Amino acid sequence: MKQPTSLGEFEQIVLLAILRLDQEAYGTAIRAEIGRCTGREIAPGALYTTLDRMEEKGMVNSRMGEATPQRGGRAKRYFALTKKGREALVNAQRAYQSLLAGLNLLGGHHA
Amino acid sequence: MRNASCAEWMLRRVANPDKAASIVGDLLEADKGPLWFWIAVAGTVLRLAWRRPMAVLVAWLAMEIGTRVFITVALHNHYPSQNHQTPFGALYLRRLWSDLIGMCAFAMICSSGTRRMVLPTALFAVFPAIAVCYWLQPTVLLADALCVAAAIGVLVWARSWKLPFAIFLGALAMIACQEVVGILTGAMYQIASRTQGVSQSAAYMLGWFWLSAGSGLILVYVATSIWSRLFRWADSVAQ
Repeated sequence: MKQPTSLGEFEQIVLLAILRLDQEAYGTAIRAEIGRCTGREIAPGALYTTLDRMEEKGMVNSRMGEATPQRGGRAKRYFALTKKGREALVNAQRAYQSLLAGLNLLGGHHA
Repeated sequence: MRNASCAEWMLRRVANPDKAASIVGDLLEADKGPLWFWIAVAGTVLRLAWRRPMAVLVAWLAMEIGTRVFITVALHNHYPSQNHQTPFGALYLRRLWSDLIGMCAFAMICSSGTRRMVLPTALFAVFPAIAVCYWLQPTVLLADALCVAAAIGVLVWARSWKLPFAIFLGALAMIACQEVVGILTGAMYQIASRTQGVSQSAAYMLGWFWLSAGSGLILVYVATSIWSRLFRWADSVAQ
């Protein structure tokens, strides 16, 4: 009787950005990827609270990486999707696809 | 001027040292100027920090208001002949009820998987309320106990046995904290009355009110720290 975990729109965007970046998903890179793909300027605080929340929910995990001089010698924190996060994202995308089916939103009369 | 150490110190108040360092590193790497840097630091600190104190405050208010409403509406209707003297066992059940209401409020404000705690906690809050109102009627008490057992059974069947366990542990932790605060404030009253001969003056009552409110908030803060851990533990069953 386990309910599928629901995801908000921003959570889905963050998870997709992490997937796209693969091994290079850390704070700055995630923000840049979201900005590049959606045109949105994401507030750092919004991103970090979302990442924290998703880590607590077990949808992403993080590991500390290397430090660079331009970061003032501070390590990067890399994020990756867990099995649960991937499942939640697939469920959310499936729901979108079902709702979009037959609408032809990108080229039909709904456009 | 971007004083990264100062920013890191601020972030460490609301996040662990590794997280704080990586956030500051990210902001330095973005290199968008000192104004943007400090706005981003302040925004991140606020976003990471606001939920917990707000949840503590709301839980405390919910417990206070819940208790007052319960005393006014339920107890005065069910114990009119005893000059509002609640039986000893019923008194603890009333506390359990208000603690469960506080837990509901806390779970509603704190996100991160604790929302699933709200419904079963609210459900369990109903049972002590019924028990207090019908303390002198064994049939109702028995039916109430059977309902609690059924509710726990459903949660166990749904593979959420950690949920009721965490709820009751959390409520018991709150009652234990209340007892400690009660003993401490009682001792303070005794000491004050012996050394200064305090009277029931308005100034004294005001001081006592602030002492009660302050100790109540500290008490709820301590209890909610325990609740957070219990909620996280209960939530881990779904992972």
